[in-house]
Amino acid sequence: MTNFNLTRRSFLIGASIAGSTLALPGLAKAQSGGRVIVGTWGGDYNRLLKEKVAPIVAKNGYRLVTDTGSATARKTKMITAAQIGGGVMDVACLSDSDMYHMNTQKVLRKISDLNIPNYENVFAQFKTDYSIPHIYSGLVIVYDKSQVSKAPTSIADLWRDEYKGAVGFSDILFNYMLMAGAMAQGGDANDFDLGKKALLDLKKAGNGRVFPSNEAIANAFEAKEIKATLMWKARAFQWQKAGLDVAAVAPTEGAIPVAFTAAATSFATNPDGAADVLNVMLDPDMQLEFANAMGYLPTVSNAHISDEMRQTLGFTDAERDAFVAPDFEYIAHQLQDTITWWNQTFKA
Amino acid sequence: MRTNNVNMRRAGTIAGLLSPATLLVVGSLVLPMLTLFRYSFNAYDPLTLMRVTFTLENYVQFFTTPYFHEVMITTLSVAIISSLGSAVLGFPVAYFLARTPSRFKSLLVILVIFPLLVGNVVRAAGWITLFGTKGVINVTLLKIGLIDQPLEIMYTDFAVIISTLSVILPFMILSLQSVIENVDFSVVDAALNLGASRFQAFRRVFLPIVMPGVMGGFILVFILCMNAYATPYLIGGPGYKMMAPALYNQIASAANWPFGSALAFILMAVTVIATLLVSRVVSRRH
Repeated sequence: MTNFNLTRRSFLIGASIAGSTLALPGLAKAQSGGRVIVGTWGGDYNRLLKEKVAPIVAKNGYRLVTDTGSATARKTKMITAAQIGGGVMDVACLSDSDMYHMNTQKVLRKISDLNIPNYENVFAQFKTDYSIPHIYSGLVIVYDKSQVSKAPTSIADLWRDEYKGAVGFSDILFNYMLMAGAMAQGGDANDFDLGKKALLDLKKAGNGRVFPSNEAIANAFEAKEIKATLMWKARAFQWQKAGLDVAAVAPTEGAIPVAFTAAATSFATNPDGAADVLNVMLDPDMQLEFANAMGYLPTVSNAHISDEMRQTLGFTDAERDAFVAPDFEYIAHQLQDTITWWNQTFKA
Repeated sequence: MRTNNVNMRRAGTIAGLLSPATLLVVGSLVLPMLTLFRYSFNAYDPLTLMRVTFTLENYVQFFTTPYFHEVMITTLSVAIISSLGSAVLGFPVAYFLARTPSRFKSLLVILVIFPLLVGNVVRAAGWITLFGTKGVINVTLLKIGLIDQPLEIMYTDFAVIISTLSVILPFMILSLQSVIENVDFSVVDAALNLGASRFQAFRRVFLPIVMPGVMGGFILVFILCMNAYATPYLIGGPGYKMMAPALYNQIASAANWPFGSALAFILMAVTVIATLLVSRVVSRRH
């Protein structure tokens, strides 16, 4: 019989080896599905993906890695990757109009080819066969309550004398400003010639200053440089939380909805992982996490937002019925012309 | 024979030492630039973003669009005014630094370099707090009653030139200081002893000696100004017409790589030509 002496040191070594062995299956599972690269915006969106989505995806065996950058850079990468026969982005996050553009270039996988059980809960109005709608909001009038005698109700109100020199636009929302301009004239939102005319009228009246970003608009409100802008309702919520005395109102011409979407790329090396990420993004709890943090609304029917949140962020049935949908094909074809006009005529 | 072997070995050693740097420059600068140059002859397509072809359309578009003429004129104007301003403002400081016997000279040099430790964006943020509608200048002027409405300082040529000057001034001062430190001032003393006035000694003796250094500093800051992006964009606003923001806009907003590439090569060509012209004019005079 062997004499077996168990010292304290050998016990601790043995225990730690045993512990490591017990943890191995978990570790193996966390790595087994491989890496999923998500191309996304920076800021809160990226933070929530890493802090909220990644841990759940990890439980399913995938490691979520984000690749942050501008939407244009992401679109360029996707088109180039598809042309050269491969890239390193499994999931791409883009606005609905940008995602439409990517679908025309056949760089996305069909939703029906992916296993996304939560997709069945998506509101019908947001469904496409190439992407999931993750969050949504609408373009509304945001105004400074302390500077306005009577709250604006329509986009056309911003052309009134009271707002002379006090309406600011965000540089990155140029497509939506043209749509709003056309709507203020009582025309079709997707008639950019009419939109250009309306915006030039505003400019001639010394109005419609362009600020570099949405954040710069918030600074302009804070400095009382502007009285009103056209902005996502979610942003108004964020600014109110930050202490700005602003209010949001859906214009009588109709709010322009925007959905921020995600899709699996055609060149994804980990399509199963991509599908899992998309599925987690549609999970009702996850939808509420994004709504609470960013002010955008859930896109699934089983995510129940509080009444308070519905009042602050949401749209009434009448407002939803009045939504003016952008014509993505028209916007994509007009893009170069729009950018040229915006930079060389309106901003100049 | 032996000499030949030694020479060959030395040549091999030199080549060996140079090759990593050469490879780095070729791989990270020359090849991407050649690629970009080729892109500048491709065509933009709103859906596919770029169509491979061979066309001069992007260059023609630049030279036939009045907007881009204004962009180029503004870029050259801001670069020339800021570079000249930095030479005028930097010269006395550089002279003082070069000639001072103070034991705090190193500290003073560090003070000159100090702004370079702060990034352009952070520095621009500082200018915004100064120039903004609710910035220090406007609030002060409003409080002392000199104005009753805030002045529009941000998004003006003045604001862009002042903030650009702040970026380039340390480069100019350091360039001038190193040149002035190497001047043999006994030559200037000789001119004064021979009856020249202080101004004559400065203009006819001292200035010709330091002129190559002044020109070196001028060219350095001129190139920096021509390619400035953050300062014109943040201080001049999104509509400010300078080449680097216009170029970036084509690549980052419109994804129009062919036209963006053409703008990059036009900017490079104009910078090189302007630099050569300045060198030639100055070297002829001095």
